Amino acid sequence: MSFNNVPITQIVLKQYRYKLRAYYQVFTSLVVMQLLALLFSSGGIMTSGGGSYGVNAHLNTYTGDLIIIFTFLWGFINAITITTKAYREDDFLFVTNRQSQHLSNMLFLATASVIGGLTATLAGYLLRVIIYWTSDEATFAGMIDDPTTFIDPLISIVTVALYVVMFCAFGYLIGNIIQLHRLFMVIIPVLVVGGLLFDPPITLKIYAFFVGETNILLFLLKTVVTTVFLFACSFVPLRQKEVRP
Amino acid sequence: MSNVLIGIMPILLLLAVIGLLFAVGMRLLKSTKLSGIVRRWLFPGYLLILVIAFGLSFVLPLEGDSGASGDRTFHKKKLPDLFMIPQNTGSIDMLDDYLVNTWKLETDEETLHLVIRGQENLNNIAVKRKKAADGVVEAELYVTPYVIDGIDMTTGFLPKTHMEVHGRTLAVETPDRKRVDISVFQKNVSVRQFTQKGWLSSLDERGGFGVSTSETTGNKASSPWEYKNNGRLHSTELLYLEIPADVEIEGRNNKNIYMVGNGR
Repeated sequence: MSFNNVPITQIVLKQYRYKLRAYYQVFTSLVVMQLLALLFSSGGIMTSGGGSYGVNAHLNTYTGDLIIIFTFLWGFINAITITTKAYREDDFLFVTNRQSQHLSNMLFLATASVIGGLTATLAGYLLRVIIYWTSDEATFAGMIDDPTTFIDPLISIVTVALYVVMFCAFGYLIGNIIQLHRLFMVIIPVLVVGGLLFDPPITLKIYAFFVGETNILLFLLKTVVTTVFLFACSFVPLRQKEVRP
Repeated sequence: MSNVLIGIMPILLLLAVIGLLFAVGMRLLKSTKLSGIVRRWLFPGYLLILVIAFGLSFVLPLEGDSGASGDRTFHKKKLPDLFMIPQNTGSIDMLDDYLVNTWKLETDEETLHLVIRGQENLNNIAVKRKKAADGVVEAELYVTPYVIDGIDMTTGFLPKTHMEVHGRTLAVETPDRKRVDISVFQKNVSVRQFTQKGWLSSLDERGGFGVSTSETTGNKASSPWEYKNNGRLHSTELLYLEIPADVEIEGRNNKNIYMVGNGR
């Protein structure tokens, strides 16, 4: 038994640094996920068509939306994964308690989200370069929206990172609830699918609350508050757990 | 209820496929066949490629503002409706931009029987009688562009229409339809959310969340103009014939052939 009084911030930072190195496979899975999304996006994400005199016209729209959606899934899955027993046991290599364990996990997920936001945004540009080189010049019409500005990548990185951290917080909460009782593995998907059956679906309302927000500052406020709330809720199951012997 | 279930089935199937592919991908990465070096350098290598692509995206003409790609953007908000213009105005002076083919065909017949063959149903034919009996039928084919989301889908891609005189027959051979695929980029959802006009307006109508408003454009039934509607402009076509003063023209279905005045 040690009589040293180590501040919790120091423990959390030490665990966080360890997790950045030890959970390296999280970023490998990010690459796999985004490469899959790139593959699916390479055929165009939307096709509009119609016929006129002598021509059957098809407008193939390419966008990095699928890469972003896959990144959300990646964040969600990884947040659940790090709540599993195997990952939790790793933390006890250090002097730790449940609080420092959660805080370092949250810091790690926030960092992973920023990396996810950065790579998802940049992968959208990779898709553009690939499509440009594989398209015939005569049938390539460029950007359908206003021209890209230098601020666009920055907006995208921040927005995607905020979305991903929110998905991580949600996944982390679900992961912690599941740790309470295995029955939640069934109850939670049932609740999610049940929510889709309402008219209008609850998920549509949640979707509109975040995705329908066109003011970036309000969006920032909504996502940060929601993330903090979800992470805070993750501390509740923590009370049920005893200190590891 | 069953409609909602049918609606969410593709989402659930997609998630299942993604999960499966993800699991297979990760299993592959964990296999001994892939060395630790590959696993170690996969993420930094990917990051490097992304940074290079990002740099290139500002050098390459990806915005479509140069060369042939720039010509695809259609800025006009309306197009002449070729089914209405000749009747309403008696003239085709405003249609010069949409001229596709011209023919000058000699004939010494007094009556020409117009026959349209081929896949396309060319049924908008305006006929003007010339003052001179010069024995030459002058034909012009006008086709306005087909526009989707502000992109001209047809200019430069229209296949050839053939026309000739065989004795008393004035034959038009319309082309087989050709498939044209145009590629465009759209900004990511994460940028469109804050920059696109009318963002989620369709959701607004359904759920009433008050997120945006949509632009309204109309298409008046009697107007000689085709107005942009949801980013679309439909194409119309016109075969304009100028026949010698002493020639009569007839077709199988005369209601599609109409005479126009002396406007030109």
